[in-house]
Amino acid sequence: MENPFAEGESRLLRPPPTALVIFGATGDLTQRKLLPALYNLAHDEYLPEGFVVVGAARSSLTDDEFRAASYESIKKFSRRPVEDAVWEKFAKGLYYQAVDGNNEADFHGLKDRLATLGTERSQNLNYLYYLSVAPSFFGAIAANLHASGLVEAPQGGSRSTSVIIEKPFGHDLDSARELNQVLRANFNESQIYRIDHYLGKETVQNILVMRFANGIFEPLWNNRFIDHIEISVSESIGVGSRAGYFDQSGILRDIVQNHLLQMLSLLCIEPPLSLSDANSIRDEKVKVLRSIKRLKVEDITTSTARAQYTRGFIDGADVPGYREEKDVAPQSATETFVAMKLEIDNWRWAGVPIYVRAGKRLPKRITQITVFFTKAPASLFRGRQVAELEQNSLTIQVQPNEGISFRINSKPPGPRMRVKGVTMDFAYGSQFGVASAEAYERLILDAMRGDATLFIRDDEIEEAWDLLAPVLDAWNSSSPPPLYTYESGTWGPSAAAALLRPRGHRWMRL
Amino acid sequence: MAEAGTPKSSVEIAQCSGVKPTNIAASLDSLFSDLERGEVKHRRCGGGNVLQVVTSEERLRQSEDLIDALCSVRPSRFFRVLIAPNQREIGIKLSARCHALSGGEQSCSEIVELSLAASRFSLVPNIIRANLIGAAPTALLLTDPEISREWLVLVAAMSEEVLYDSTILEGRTDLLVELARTPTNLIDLQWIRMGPWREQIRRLADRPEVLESLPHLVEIEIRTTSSQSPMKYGSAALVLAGWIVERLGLQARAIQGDRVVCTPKSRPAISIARPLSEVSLRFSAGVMRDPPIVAGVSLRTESGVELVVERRAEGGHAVLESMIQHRSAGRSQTAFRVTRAIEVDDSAVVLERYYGIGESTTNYAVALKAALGMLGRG
Repeated sequence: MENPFAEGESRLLRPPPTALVIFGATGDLTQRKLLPALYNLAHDEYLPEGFVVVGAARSSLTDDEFRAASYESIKKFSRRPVEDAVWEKFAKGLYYQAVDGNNEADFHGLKDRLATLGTERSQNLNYLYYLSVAPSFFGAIAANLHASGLVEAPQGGSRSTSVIIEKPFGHDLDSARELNQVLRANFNESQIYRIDHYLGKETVQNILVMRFANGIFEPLWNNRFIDHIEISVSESIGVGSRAGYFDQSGILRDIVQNHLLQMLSLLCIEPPLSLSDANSIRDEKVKVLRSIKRLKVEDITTSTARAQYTRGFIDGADVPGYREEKDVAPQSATETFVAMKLEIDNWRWAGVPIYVRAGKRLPKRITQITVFFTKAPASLFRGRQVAELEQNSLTIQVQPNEGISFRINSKPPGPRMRVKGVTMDFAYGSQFGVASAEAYERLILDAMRGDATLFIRDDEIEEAWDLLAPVLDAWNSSSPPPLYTYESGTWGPSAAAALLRPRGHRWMRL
Repeated sequence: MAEAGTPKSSVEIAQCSGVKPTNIAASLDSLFSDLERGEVKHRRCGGGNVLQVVTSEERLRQSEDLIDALCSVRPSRFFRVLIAPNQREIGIKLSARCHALSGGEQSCSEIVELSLAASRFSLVPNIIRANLIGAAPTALLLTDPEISREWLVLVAAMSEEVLYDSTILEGRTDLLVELARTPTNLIDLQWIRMGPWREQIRRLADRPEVLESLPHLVEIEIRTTSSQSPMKYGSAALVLAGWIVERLGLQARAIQGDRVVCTPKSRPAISIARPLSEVSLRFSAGVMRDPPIVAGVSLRTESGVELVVERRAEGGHAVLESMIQHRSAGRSQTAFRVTRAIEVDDSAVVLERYYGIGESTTNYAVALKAALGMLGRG
């Protein structure tokens, strides 16, 4: 028998009563992103009744001290100003518990605290653990959560218990596998939510809507009509306070392995069986990652270019070179720019080059995907003072100005038959008026609701590392390919442009 | 409605008047090209069209907060028609109403204000039709219960959706009947506000003991506050009753006193839990309050299972308490209880929430028809 009141009604977005335990509660990510995201969820009334945040870290703080620190962070970093009424209600759910990730006894204390909070609220709280700590602590925290009885079986337990982890998910294929094993020893894969905050961005989610809710694109979405694809993740900032971490990883690990390959896989997936089942989409993403041609040693120099920024100018200001940055080794060989030529070797995409690039200290902050369609034959316009026809292109701008634009050829006014490329624009702000929520808001909410669609599964991580393994091996070999340099404030080394030249392509001006 | 003095999120930044009906589009172009030359980037937005007809300046002012909300969440070209009794010519005023986006940009709606005498209203559809943003959806914002049925028909025919708060139409069932007839999507802000009630009823009915007992349902009780409203129990209570009755596959007769007799319709194709015999729907009104609000809903079964959703105050906030009770030998035992906070939001906030989050209106039209049927206006 079916529930007669279910049909045609919206399911409320509010998740079930949940206690969110943030390990690393005094850290930068918690203060800058997580607490402001939670506050905004509270503002929009998305948080469930009886919602609890337990900040956990080694420092000794009282609940009130944690609340006061949280207030300051939210005031500074929230996308909305703090409203007294919202804060007052939100603050009532903020608690602090001193926990040393390596000390099992502390986890028993945490367990008792959570039980008390549930009893006080007469709620059977789900437990969601957010590991906002260095990856080296993941193993110990996961093991201690399990050992202290804070992890329950996904089916049949008295409550839902799950864990969110932040990148980096390993630094190569072996370490990623090792990390996955450590996590799976304590949690079921269905309980693990690996965050890539790019997947929480409206425009990235809109890739799926654009492709599968518009009849005009899908028939063209293949190698017959698409000439090439370009994905750029450009940052104008340098390494800043992350230099210590970045110098050990580089842009390939920091951006390409996760954000960039996630966008690429969403852009190129086959239609999933369902959009409401997390594994349908993730299955298709894995297939894309698996289908990307692995580079051979001899391909590395013709299909990749890496470089490091030198002193230059950004926004009119003089900025130091990478090796002059604080906490960067003077002889560092870490790349701050990478460009790659990839190809998906499947029926749909064979022969379509996919150019990706990511870099720091480039002229501006912009992330965008551009799909270039095959050119129309120009014979009709020959002899009519028409220069080469522009390729139609569809650009999805992920940040900073979220939107989609389409380039088409058009006749400018006048007596002559001329052709000029023009842009049709869709900007989120123009159509929907409201500011997009921060990616973390959406992702935390989804994790509380048990929806893993926008989170990365273990096999996606491993496939992404497997894809990059030949590049990392070549860079670490005894005869590595050149590490180029580029002046800060420019679009990277000329070697990046050279990757596109054999097919007559050029990087789009961003 | 927003309290007096509530700051608007959008502001009028430019205007021009003395425009002729034939050059509205050109004048808007000119207005925005002036704006776009300024230092701040003003983005001219055209996500849709919004129509509004009001019968007085006061009604125009009273709806400012709704217009403000719409400018924020659905930047559009607005056509605001004011019936001005003594106006000989058609007055046209254009303006840009903008609100700040991130990055210092301004998102601007286009406001076209038409003022004219009632006798000239028949000209309005042509002026609007010639100036709608083509291929963009059009919404009718119905804020004035004084407008005539004929005007409603004319402007509703140009709209894909009608936004209104049925509370203000409680004295105008003729307009509600007209709306129920239109093929447009009806968005009643009361329906959006009542979303948590429907959600709680759905959640309770998800429980096996409730599902199993629904075939033995004998009584539905809707408790409201008393009021001076022409509808007595209020539109929210009636539409909620209409929804419950329709979802249970019941046919409601016209209300007699405070009771409605509901009989099972012929069996639907899908296997839903539904009453097998006649059900009594009863309205009961408590303390006086205008406009009336729903205070509680109970679904009682012969087998002693009772589903209860009740509104109450808790620590200065309104909450919904949902319970399943088992009655046996004159004693009642609560088997399940859950509470959730509900907000007492003004129309602008509800409208923003509707466009921001979305709420299904799939079942509204049939619920409204059932409610009107109970009032003998089906």
